[in-house]
Amino acid sequence: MSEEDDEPTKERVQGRLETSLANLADEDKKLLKAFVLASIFTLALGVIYALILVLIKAGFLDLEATLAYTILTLHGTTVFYYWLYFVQVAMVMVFVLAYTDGVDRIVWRKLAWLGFGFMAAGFLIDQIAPWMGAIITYGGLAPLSHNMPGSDWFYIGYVSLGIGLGCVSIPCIATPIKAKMDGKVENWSSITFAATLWAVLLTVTSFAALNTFLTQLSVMDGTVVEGFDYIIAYHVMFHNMHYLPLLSTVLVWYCLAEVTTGVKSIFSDRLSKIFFSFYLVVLPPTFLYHMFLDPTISALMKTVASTLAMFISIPTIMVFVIILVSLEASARVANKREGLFAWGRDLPWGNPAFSAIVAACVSAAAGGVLANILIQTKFAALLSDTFAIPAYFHFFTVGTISLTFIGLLLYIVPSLYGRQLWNPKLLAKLPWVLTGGVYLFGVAGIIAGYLGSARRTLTPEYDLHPSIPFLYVLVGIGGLVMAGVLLTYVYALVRTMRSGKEVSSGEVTANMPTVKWEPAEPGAVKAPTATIVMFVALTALFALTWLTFSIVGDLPG
Amino acid sequence: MAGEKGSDAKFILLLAVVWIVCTIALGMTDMVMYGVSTAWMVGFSFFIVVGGVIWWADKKGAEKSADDDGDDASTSEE
Repeated sequence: MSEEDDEPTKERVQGRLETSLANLADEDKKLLKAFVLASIFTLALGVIYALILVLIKAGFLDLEATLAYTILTLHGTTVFYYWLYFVQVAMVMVFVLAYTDGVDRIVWRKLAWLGFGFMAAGFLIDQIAPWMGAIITYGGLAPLSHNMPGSDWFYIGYVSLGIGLGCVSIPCIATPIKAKMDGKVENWSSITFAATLWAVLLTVTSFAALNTFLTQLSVMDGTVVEGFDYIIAYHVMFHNMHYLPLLSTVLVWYCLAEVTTGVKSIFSDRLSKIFFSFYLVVLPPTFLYHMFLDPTISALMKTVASTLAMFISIPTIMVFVIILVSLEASARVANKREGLFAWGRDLPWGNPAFSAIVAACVSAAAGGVLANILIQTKFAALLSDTFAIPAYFHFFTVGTISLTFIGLLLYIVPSLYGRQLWNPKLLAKLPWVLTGGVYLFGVAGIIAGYLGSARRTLTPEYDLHPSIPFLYVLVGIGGLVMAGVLLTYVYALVRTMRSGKEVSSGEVTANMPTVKWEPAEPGAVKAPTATIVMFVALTALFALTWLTFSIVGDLPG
Repeated sequence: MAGEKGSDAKFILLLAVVWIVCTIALGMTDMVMYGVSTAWMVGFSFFIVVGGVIWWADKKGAEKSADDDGDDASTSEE
């Protein structure tokens, strides 16, 4: 085979995503641009806060303690509640607009604008409140907050966010329903279905947010609310809030796999809908793992909760398997390469969005294995307040979720602005650099946590083990790499908006290499890669579980 | 299910059933957790509303399509 034949077919997929976004009404484009700009701004700001924190943690920068905790509160609030939610709303709107037959505009657009206004107001308030004295981390810890100036404003910011999310979720539900009502579509695509499910859960979550923060405000005002427990109420909302990004992440994988290779799921839409629905099936029973440290909950219930929590990763794994099997089968049919993993050479590695979703899966593998360790009740009690927790969840929040969302923005921004993406060759390499940083930050941080280094402390006197300062230097280097890559992405997106090459409609994503394969028939070829990946992941899970129980078994008492 | 009429609504109504079962199961335990049952009740109630609206939209859409087909047929006969 010649070298030229080895190159993936560079035929560009003139995708539904690009065409739909280019043909949107100006009013809808303005709305989407507002959410995209807010996402990029909040991401940049959150990363700048993170940069300061990792410099402190590594010992490269010394900051007065109160100021450092202010930055910690701002970092968590900005990236978790504002970056992740501005960008997800933008993505879900894009999905319902692009993947629902017969939809050409957002229904009840004014309500979506109102929601944007509330979300933006919440963001501004939550930027100011920590400077007033509300240094209560992004969880708004109560009763710690009760005597802190500005903490009432902090909760008001979250109330505004909750109202905003409720307002934006309704148009995302109404838009695809209108298409059904008009007789333009009988059954939604699996992407529309999952996007609608996401919006439905967001509405429910916004109610939980209002219930939590309005009650907390009234308690601070002196009202006695019988049975109110902020931590439990907060976690009811937080459980959904940290689960919604997982659903939207796999949805983006599903979408970008098709955009970059032409391959949709080779299985039925029904199967995809079942797995997307499964996210909402496992949501209530897995809630209890947040309560492992609550002494009022019986040991029996904690064991039941721990067992039920094992279900949490199943839908993500199943959607991942559907995508991987579909890609492998279609690549094998299209290119007929021999060898177990040779089919992978034909994937569009030069496409920055494709690289982003593959690298995201590499981080998700580590995060998923660690998550299954942490939801084992006895071990959770040992690690919950150590640095192992933030070290572990950055595999998801940065390495998986944020990278995946950025991958989709690399298509959304050029399509909305009619300009080609800045430097796609460089951007195709960044996900691997980011993943290296995430692994360095995560592994070093988890070891520090196992050695007893406390979470939410920025002062080294709590770190008693002699290895911890060195581990935090590694955490700092990993953090700097992550921050550097994310800021480069921000630069690339802004540069694309401002001075990307202007091209005619249909040529906007021409500088991003793709392949175009026909989806294979199920059973047409053998596709063993997913089975091998799952076998490796399960082996790692069992090995780490065995290690976990060995550690727990060695503890006194 | 999917591929049949009304399948999207059926999925969402099935989720409502699952959340109702979870709410009942939680009520049968001795755990007292502020806001959990309320949030789940709001959840399944909203699923029922959305599922019902989707069902109604499917029905209305089918009627509209049938009317449009009828109009097309009569136009072509003319």
